Amino acid sequence: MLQFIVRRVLQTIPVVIGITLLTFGLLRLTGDPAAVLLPLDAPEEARIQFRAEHGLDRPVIVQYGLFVSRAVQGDFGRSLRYHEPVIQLYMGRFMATFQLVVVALTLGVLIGVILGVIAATRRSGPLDSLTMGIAVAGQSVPGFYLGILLIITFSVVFRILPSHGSGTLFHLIMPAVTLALYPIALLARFSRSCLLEVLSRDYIRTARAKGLSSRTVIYKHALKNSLIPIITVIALQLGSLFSTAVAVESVFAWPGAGRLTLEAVFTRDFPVVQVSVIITALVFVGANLVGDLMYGVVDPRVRFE
Amino acid sequence: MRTSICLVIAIALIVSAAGCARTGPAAGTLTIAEGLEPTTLNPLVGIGDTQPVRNIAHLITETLMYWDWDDKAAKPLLAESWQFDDETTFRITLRTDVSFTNGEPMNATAVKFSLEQLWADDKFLVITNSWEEIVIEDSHTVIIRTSRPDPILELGLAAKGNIVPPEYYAARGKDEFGIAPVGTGPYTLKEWLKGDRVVLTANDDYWGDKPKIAEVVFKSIPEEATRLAALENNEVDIIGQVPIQLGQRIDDASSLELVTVPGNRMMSVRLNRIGGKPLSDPRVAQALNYAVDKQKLIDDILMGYGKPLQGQPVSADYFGFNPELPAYPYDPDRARELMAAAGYPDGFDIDFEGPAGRYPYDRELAEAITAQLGLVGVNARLTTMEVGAFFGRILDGQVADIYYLGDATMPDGQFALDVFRTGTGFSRYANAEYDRLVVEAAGIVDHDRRLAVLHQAMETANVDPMMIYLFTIDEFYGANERVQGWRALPGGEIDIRGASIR
Repeated sequence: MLQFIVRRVLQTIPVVIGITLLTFGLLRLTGDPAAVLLPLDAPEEARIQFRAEHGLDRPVIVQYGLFVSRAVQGDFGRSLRYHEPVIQLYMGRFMATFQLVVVALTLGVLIGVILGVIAATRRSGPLDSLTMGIAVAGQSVPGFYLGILLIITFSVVFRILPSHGSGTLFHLIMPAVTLALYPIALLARFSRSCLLEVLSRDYIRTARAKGLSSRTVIYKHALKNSLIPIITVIALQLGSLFSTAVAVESVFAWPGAGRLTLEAVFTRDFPVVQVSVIITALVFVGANLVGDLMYGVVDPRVRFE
Repeated sequence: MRTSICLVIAIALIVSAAGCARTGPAAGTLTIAEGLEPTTLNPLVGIGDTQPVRNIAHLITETLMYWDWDDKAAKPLLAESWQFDDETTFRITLRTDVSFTNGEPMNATAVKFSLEQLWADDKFLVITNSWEEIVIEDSHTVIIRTSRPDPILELGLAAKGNIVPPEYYAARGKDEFGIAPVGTGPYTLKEWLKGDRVVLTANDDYWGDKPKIAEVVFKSIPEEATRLAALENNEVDIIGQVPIQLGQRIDDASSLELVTVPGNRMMSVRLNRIGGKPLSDPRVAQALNYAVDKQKLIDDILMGYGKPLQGQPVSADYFGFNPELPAYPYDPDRARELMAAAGYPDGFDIDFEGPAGRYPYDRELAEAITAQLGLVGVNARLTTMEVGAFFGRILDGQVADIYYLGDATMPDGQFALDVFRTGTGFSRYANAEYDRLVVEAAGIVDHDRRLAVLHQAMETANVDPMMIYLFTIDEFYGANERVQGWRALPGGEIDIRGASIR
């Protein structure tokens, strides 16, 4: 087991290195931050001073080398716009995003799995079609659009929820629901098919033949076994929710890291974008790892590969 | 089961009713929402030189004078009076009754220190390039000596010369001052929750008219629909950067007020007048001006919210604007006549570039202009692109022969005109007479004489255009009717110093 963990952790290192290389190169291909951050008619000296200040006038390889040597010491540079160390800036907003993502994921798991179970156990009935219809809609509606619809409905028309910002539970409801919609839909469909697949297995037929009640068969035997792939999907969702949070945070003016990243992309604030991509990648990789480990815990057959 | 459902519904109703009471700002608090959040509250650093920052920073740290847009002149603020002793000596007399909120006195030492911060930052070279020396004559008199007569001194000081307490600023440094600024203004910083809001409280010891609002909150809501929803939901009182298409909704709402201000950004299609024919011929440049129906573009695409430029590179709000010059009327026949006279009776092909999503309806307007040019035989191949890439191409000199651009500067014609002097920056214009007039105006300190020369320069630019003069686009603000006495000024400036809440 320990070997398994160590092996998987070591595998993540080249992934992270590859991501930093890719981000670094791509960002610098997109153009000169001085062109966007300074007014067009700024004197050339101002541009030169700006580039020198932020080390943008050196060759890309040199910049990358400097970046890596500082990064391993925990220094990811300073934001071009905020003049603050990027790590400080990003992590200051990270908790807000994390809060949103965790709530959305919890909603996704609870509601999604329940819907999936309902659909699977009442298969081919009207409830099945209804829940699956909702699931398809949920995966198709753009979160951005849904967010604005919710704001108009609950803030402007009914006036019961604040339209933006954070601070109270009321502020959390709409952004979390908007973010949760995709995981709810995905998990509903996925858990439905997982459960159905397990229910068709021989050992379930045996259990029914033994005379066990339907409830016992489903919840005690089938569901537990279908949770194995579901858990992996849940872990993967954590990473993807982090990226979806960018759009949701912008719509709801949620003061998180996603919104910071979006603004940094548009204003070519390279250091912020770099850190953001690296940390999101780490989250993905970490979530993946946890998913794999849990799979190993729950399914003993995997462990002994 | 049934009782527990009832209980859940009851709780939900109570909880939502409590939420109901939560929406709506308390009396004595003004909430303003803009799109961008401030990156610093220190206006003396180049990165802080954006309007959202100034809207907040100017309530905390004041300037020596402020710019009166109606009179197009600087009016006293921290400076009581000023004069040019001679063409290169600018004498400022300060008020004697002002202190910073941390107790330091507002005096010549503070002013010299603050101006030196401005001077040290290359991003303000536009204002400071003529400065030679800052002299303290006595405790409340400062003299700026310039290397040449500089007519934009007052405007520069009014726009950017915020005065900061020297001991505090020197001790904290410019980055920390940006998080905890101190000044002489009607408001002080209470707290700044990054990414969420900036909260200011009234300065009861303010030297001027005491502020009537106890607390001012600045929020940043990047998504325009959300910003509008916040206004409609009474969560905020004033919103800025309202896109044109949402203006009608504010106008129709009974408790809201739509405020429109003529924009300070001149939209134009820049022409490459030094790249050879056909554009180098002034008749062709004029023809292109006749070929575009500006009013139609304003009416059809901007829903009427714009003002055509009067045949010159500045709008009516700029000092130097020549009211005698007519706007180029829409006259496609005249356009074809001029092009024929220049040797292009069948028109010509040309590349046209523009940004997408930088200015209101930029892509749509560029497409419409392409169509209008097509009607007189000018076949423009339009490419629109992301703004960073677009600006990069302009700066590299790789941009197409004609491109769509907006230009906003401090409200003095010199800035708009200077960029077209031969060989300057990315100017693609070479008119010797124009150069002579612009340089001459830049050296005249006397307002009336300078205005006359600027008028002449505008006329030169009118008959030998370096751009297709288009329009300014109105800026929109939404406000709750309960807020009185506030003003929106061109360029995104929100002035709430005299505001009160009914």
